[in-house]
Amino acid sequence: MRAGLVVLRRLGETLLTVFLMVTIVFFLLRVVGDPAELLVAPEATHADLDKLRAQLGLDRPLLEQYVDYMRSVVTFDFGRSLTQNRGAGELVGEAIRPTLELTGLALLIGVPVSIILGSIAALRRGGIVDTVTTAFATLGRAMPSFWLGLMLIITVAVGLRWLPASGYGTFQQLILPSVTLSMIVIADVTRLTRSSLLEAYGNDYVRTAYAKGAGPARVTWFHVFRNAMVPVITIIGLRTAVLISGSIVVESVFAVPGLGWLLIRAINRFDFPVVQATIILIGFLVIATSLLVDIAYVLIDPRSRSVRRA
Amino acid sequence: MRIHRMVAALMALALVLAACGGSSTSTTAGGDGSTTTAGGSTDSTAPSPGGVKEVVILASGDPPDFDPHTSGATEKSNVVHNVYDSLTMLDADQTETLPALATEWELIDDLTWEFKLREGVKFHNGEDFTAEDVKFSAERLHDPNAEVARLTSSLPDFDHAEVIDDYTVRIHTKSPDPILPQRIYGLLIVPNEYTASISESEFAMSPVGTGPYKLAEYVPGQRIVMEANDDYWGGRPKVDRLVIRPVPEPSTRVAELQTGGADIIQQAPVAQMAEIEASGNARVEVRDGRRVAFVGLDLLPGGPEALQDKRVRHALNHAVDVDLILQTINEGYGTRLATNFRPDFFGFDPNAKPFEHDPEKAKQLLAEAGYAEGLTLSFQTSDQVFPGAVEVVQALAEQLRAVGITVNVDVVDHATFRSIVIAGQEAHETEDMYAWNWGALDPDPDSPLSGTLHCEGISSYYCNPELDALIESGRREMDRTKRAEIYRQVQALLLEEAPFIFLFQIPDVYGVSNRVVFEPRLDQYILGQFLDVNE
Repeated sequence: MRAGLVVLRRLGETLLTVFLMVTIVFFLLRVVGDPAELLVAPEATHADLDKLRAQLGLDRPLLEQYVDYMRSVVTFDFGRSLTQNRGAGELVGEAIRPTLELTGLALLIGVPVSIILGSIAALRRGGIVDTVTTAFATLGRAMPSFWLGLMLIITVAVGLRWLPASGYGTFQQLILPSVTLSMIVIADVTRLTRSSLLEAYGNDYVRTAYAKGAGPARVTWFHVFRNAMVPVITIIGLRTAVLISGSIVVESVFAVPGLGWLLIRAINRFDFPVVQATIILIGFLVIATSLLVDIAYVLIDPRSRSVRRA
Repeated sequence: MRIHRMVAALMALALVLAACGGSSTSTTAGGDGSTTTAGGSTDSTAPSPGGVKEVVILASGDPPDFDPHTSGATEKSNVVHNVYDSLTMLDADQTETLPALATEWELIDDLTWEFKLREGVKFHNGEDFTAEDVKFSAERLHDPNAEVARLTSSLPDFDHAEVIDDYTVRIHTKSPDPILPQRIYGLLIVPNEYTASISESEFAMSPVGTGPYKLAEYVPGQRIVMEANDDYWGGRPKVDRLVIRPVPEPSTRVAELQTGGADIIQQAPVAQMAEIEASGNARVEVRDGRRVAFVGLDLLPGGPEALQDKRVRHALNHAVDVDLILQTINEGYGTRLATNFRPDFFGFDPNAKPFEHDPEKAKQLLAEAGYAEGLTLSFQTSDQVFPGAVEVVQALAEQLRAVGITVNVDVVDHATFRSIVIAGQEAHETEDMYAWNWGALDPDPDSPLSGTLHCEGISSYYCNPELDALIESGRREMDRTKRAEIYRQVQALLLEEAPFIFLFQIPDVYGVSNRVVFEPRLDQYILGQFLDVNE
C-alpha cells in the first residue's frame, strides 16, 4: 500500500517536472530565434519569408501556439519537424535506440572497470597500482570527450585499422564511441570507489565484525563493500544522466544518429518541435534513471527500508 | 561475496558481447513506399564486392526529404540531381548550357521561350516523358497552395507553361528573362501522373525521375543508396552505386577518407589538406566555388556616420590585404575579386581592377574625411559563414588596426547571425561591419545584386536608387550587348561607391580517394554520371 503511494507520488512529481521543463523550453526557444529565417533560401524575398512563417504557424500569438502545442502533446502528437519533412515524435523515436545502446554499452564497460580498478587501488593502497589508477582517473576527468573520441579514431581506426571510424549499424561501430563515453563514468567512479572503500574500512562495524570472528575476506566483501557501494551507486546514477545528455558530443564525432545529435542539430536550426520532443524524452530518461537508483538503494542498503517505515 | 560474483558475472557478460560482433542492425525508414534492400552493413573496407563500382560520399547530415521543388540545401541536391533531370544542364564551370531533357530552345518573343524535348525518355516507373510533365513541374514549383514552401527562386518570373505538342513546350514569363535556359536547370522534372496520384509527403520520400540513378534505400541517420538506371537516356552511368552517409564532424570525415570508408568528402578543412595528401590513398581537389565572400557595411540611416563617407569606405578597401589572406589562411586557394562579380558571371568586366593594398593611402583618406585621430568600428561574424571566416575576420581587423581603425570583433553562432542579417533591416541589429557571402546558382550577377545591394534586398544594408535602376534594367534587357554594358556600369559604380569591402571567391575543397575519378563542379553537385572508379 505504502509502496503504491510512493510510486504514485513519484509519478506525479515526474509529470510536473517534465511539464515545467517543456513550458520553459517552449517560451525560451521562441524568444531566441526565428526558424523561418533559417529555412528560407537566401535568394528568397521578404514576401516568401512571411509566407513561410504563416505556413509554419509562427505568426500566431505565443499563448495560442503554446496551448495548441500542449494539447497535442497530451495525445503524443509532437508536431512536425521544421527542417526534416517528418513528425518530431517519429524522429525522436528513431533516435532513442542508438543512444540507449551507446549509454548501455558505456555503462557495461565503465561500471565494472571502475569498480574493479577502484577496489584494487583501495586494497593495495599506496602501491604502484593505486598510483597508476588514480593518475589514470584524474587524466580521464581532464580529457574532453571530443578530443578523446578523435584521438581514438586517429589511433585505432586510421592508424591500426582495427575498427571503423564512424557510423552506426554494426557492433564494431559502437565500440569506439562507447569506450569514449565510458570515460565519463570511469573517471569519477574509480576514485569514488577507492575513497569510499577506504572510508568504510575505518568504521566501527569493521572492528566489531573482526571481534565476532569474521575473516578478512568476509569483512571486506560482505560488510565493507556493501556499505561503500551506497555513494558509488548514487554517482553512477548521476553520471548516467550525464551520459544520456552528454552523448551529444560523442554522437556527433562518431556519426551515431542518437538523441544527442538530433538535439544539437535541432537547436542549431531552431527546429522547435524536435527540440521540445527531444527534451521531453531526455527528461523522462533522466528521471527514470534516478528512480532506478532509488530502487537500487532499497535493495542494497537495509537502513533505507527502515527509515521509510518510521 | 555476492557483490564479488555480481562483478565477475558482469565482466563475463561484457567479454561475451565483445566477442560476438558483426551483427548488422538495420532499421528501415518509415516505410513510405521506398524500396528497401535487405539491410546491408556499411563496412569500411574499400574494394566493392564482385566488381560493383561504388562511390561513398559523406554529407554533413540527412536531407529533409527528396522533393526536388522544396529547399534542402546541399544535403538534398546530391540526391535529387542524380535522380531527376532538367531541360538543360550546365557544364562543370557553368559557362556552357547543354541539352538534357530538351534538345533545342529558341526565343519566340521577349516573354516566351520554346523548348523542343527529347523523345523516347521514360521515368523510372515507366511513365513517358512529355511536355505535360514539364508544364506540371513548372506549375508545381509555383503552386501557391503548396504544403511546404517551394523554391520559386529557381524560376522567379514564371507566368505559365504552354504545351504545344507532346515534345514541344513554351515557357511564358512575366517579364523578359534573358537567361531562362540557364535558370531552368534548377527546375527538376517530375512525372505528372505519379506525383498527382500520391500525397505530398509520400512523394517527398519516394522520388521517381528520369535521372541516371534511382533511389534504392534510405535508412535515416545511416545511408542513402542510389543505383544506376540501366535505361538512362544519356547511357548507363559507369558507377553502379552511390552511397551517401551523414557524418557531422569534419575531422571524422577526413578520418573516413583516410581509412577508405569514404571516397569523396566535401568542405574538407583547409588545415587538414596536407594530412589528406600525405595519406597516400587520397588527394585534395580544389576549385573556385560559387560563393563569394565580402564584408557588408551598415549603410542604412542610423548606421555609423563614418561609413556614410565614401572616402572612409575606400580607405577600408585600401587598408586590407586580401592577397595575403588568401596565401596564408586559404593556403593559396581562392581568387581575389574586384567586386562581388564572379568571373563566370555574364557581363564580368576583366578591366575592373580591385582596390590596391595601400595602407598609406588609406590613412590619407581617413585624414581627409576627418578621422585622422582614428575610428572605432564593430565587426561581426559566425564561424560558419564561410570556411575560415573567423580567422579571415581577425586578419582583416588587424589590417584595419594598422591604419588607425579600432575594430571590435564579435563572433556569434550561425543561426543568430543569420537572423540578424537576413531580413533584419527593420530590427537593424547588424554591427557596423559583418562578414557575409552570396552563392548565386546561375552564372549571372542579378542574384547577388538583387539580394545584397538592391534597396529591397533580403540581405541588403545599402540603398542607392541609381544602382537599383541599373539592376532592374539589367534584369529585363534581352539584348546581350546592351546587357553587358549595363553590368559594366554596375561594376564601375560598385568600385566608385565601395558599399562593401570586396574579398574573394571562396574555394571548394574536396577530399577524394585516389581510386575515384572526380571533377568538382561550380554548383557543388556531385553527379554520379560523371564519376568513375579505377580499381
